[in-house]
Amino acid sequence: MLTDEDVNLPATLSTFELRLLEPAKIRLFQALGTTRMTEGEERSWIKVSPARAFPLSDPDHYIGLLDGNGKDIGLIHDPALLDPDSRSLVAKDLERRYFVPQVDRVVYVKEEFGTIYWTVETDKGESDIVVRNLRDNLQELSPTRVIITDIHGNRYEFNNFQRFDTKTQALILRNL
Amino acid sequence: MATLHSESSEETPKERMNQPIEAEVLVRLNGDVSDTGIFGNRILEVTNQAVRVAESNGTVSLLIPISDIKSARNEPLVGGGRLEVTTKSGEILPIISYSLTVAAQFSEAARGIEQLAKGESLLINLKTERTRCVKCNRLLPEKDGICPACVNRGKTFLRIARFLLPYRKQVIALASLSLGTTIINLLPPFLQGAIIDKVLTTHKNINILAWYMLAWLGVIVIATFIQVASGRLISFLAGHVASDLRRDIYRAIEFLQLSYFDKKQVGAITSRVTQDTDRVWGFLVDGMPYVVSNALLLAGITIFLFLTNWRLALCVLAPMPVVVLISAIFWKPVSQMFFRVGQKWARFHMHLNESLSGIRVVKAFAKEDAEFAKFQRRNQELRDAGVRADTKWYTIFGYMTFFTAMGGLINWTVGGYMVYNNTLTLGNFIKVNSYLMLIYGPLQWFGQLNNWFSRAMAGAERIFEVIDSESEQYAKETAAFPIVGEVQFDNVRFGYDKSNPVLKGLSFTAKPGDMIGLVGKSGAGKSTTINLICRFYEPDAGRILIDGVASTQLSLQDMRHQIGVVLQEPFLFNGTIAENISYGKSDASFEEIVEAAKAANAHNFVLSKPDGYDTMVGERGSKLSGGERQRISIARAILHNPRILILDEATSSVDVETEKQIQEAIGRLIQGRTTFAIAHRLSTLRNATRLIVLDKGEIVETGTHAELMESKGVFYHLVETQTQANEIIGIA
Ligand SMILES: Nc1ncnc2c1ncn2[C@@H]1O[C@H](COP(=O)(O)OP(=O)(O)O)[C@@H](O)[C@H]1O
Ligand SMILES: [Mg+2]
Repeated sequence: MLTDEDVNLPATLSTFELRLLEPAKIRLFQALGTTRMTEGEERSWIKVSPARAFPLSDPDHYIGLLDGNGKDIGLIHDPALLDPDSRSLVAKDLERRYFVPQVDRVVYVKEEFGTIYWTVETDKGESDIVVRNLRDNLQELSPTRVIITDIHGNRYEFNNFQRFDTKTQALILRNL
Repeated sequence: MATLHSESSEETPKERMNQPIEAEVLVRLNGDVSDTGIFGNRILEVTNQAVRVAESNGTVSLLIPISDIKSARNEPLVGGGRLEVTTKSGEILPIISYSLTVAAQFSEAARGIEQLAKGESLLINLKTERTRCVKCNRLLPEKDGICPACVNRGKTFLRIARFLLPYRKQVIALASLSLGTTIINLLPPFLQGAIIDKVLTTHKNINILAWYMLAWLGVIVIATFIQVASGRLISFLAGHVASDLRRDIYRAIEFLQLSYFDKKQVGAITSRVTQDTDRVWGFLVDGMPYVVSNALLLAGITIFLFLTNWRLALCVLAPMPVVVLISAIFWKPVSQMFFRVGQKWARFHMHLNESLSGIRVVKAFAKEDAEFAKFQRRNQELRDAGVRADTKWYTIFGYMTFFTAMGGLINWTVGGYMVYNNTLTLGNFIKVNSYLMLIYGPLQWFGQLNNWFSRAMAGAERIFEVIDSESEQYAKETAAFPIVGEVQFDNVRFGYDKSNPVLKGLSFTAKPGDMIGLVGKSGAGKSTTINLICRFYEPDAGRILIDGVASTQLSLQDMRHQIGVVLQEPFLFNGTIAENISYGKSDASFEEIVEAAKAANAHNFVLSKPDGYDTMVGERGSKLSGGERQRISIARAILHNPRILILDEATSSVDVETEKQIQEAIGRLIQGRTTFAIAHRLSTLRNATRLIVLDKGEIVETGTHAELMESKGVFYHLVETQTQANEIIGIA
């Protein structure tokens, strides 16, 4: 069965195939505020945005590139193999795209009527988190790693939460 | 990073530099992410001359004249967003980043910047929401919501206590009975003591023994009576209070805005109707009498003990604080463990349910072993959690028993010594012993009192949160408004998430009786448009007019009575076919039902079922095929006889033959009604009065099928690719 999405069917079927980009051949650079890319001598894009294919399970590999229309260009398996300039540009773009602070330390935590208030130190600075109904806003990535979504939709990663205060641990364990 | 182009202006650069500082600041927003990408404070200011960003120390780090800006937008990112402007030279400049906490406001600001850049007047809705409590400055659990710290528990308690009000007679009776229970419980040890001292140790007064036994019998009879009576009262109250609570919360949920259901899982909502109401009535009806009568009993016994012999009382009660302490300290971790067991159960259940409903898929992929492994994992989790909780529980229970037993030991040591020395009568000794037995029971549970109360209050809070949530705007007062059928969109903007508009200023008019086809790629906003017509959501800006009247002026229920919807996946309720067809008109006669079914091309297949119109359709209509369900839902819409009809991909999930039949039925259904149709197969919209082509929430083309094919624009392209696609697959 076709869906609306298939209406824009391309002439060739090549877009159905996974295209792994060869790090040696591609180069990313910045011009007029956008990230541009060339692949070898033959192809170039004036706007590419990198996105992680597995932001939670493998954030450092499988970086997908989308063009200005949101169409897939291809996948970079390991961006570390890019030339240094391209690599840092990709890293910077990714850093900008994913604003998911990693919690390093819990400064204060309090639960009141099913609402939890945290003050935490994260890799992005200190922040206050308010979570209502933790069970609905908790995503378990592994037994030691969870992502918590606050009332605004901001996400915070609690990695190795066993090292935090007992109250935080209990709160998380209770709602897993 | 700051760009200052002055060539496009006649003013001197000097004037330009000064102006932004003097010009009135139209928009000022606090961003919460610094330019290095960590939490920080930056301020966005928009005047009608420039957009600028000030750092927390007041220095302006970025300044862009409005005259250089072509467009502005909120680039949605993961966990936040970034305001970007495109300059007239085509450069894309990131202005400021922010977390989702404030993203909606910046999205509005982007719109405002664009308006200014186009020379329009600023027209944005920058509602600043309260995120902190005005009283205690605490972060609010919901924007503009109530501060849970400042609603006092007393108030919440009074509010739930109000559920007892209709049953105040029973409540008063129950309270008196609790008092009676306490007194009755205190009597037997007293009698025992008296019998020992007056009869047993003196070896006389045998006839007093008879009197005492008679009194004791009386106590037993009264105790039994009280127990039966209060049990009956409690079950009466429990049933009624629980059902009242469930009634109120269900009624409130029904009228909640749909956006509430988008945010919450159905399971989370149902748990409020079941678990939270349970906690509240459990506390009101079971907990409170228990607590009250035990508190009285405790006080009574303590007084009696001290009256009997204060030295002995002090000694035997010495382990009491320890028992309370143990219970207070360990109750929480243990209860959490049991809570976890409950959760593991729920997960186990869920998994079992899922794997059994998906058993066909499991078998088809030969995944029995993998599923078994998953099952075992859940099963063992459950086992371990259960063992852990029970182990801990019995250990603590052991400690408590030890200290409770200590009370007895002390009594026998100290009391025994006193009896030996004749400073205490044997009767009083036995009395103290019996009271001790009574006291330690309630004591063990006292530590959890606060917790119990807190949990009930939390449940109550969650219930009241729903009851107090903003419900749909039913303008109940307005009189019935017979709709003719004109529907007008006037610059309607809407986004499910306010920072990410899905419809960006739609304007169109459908005349009465028109059939409007909505066309566009998946995600273009077709269904969203329809949701707004049904008023499932309210526009963020702009208006929807029905027959020239703003839809917000109309009574919601009256209006929906005149709108009919047929969806791609029709939802049927578990009941008979006839019941489902007459859902919108419950007093429909059998003739009307059959008529509607005939018009929907459903009559034939219904008759061929053994039970005809009395056929049960199963949960969600699962006993019918997709096409059958669809025709029933069309019959339902026909009988509903709406003035405005909505067909959202009504024929997408059925085969071509069935589709023909459904199309026929639809052809009859749309006669004389204003119809909005979304169809996957564009050719089925050939008869539409007008097609509206949407792309990314904007109207890109309108016209008849023929006109649009002629103009060879977006629609033509869509039809072309669809034909090609069909050729590839071979169903053209
Ligand atoms: N209930 C919802 N909550 C949040 N986003 C939604 C919801 N429904 C639809 N959307 C989003 O709104 C956009 C438009 O969806 P929709 O109107 O359903 O498109 P279509 O044109 O395919 O009917 C999509 O990006 C979709 O993801
Ligand atoms: Mg849709």
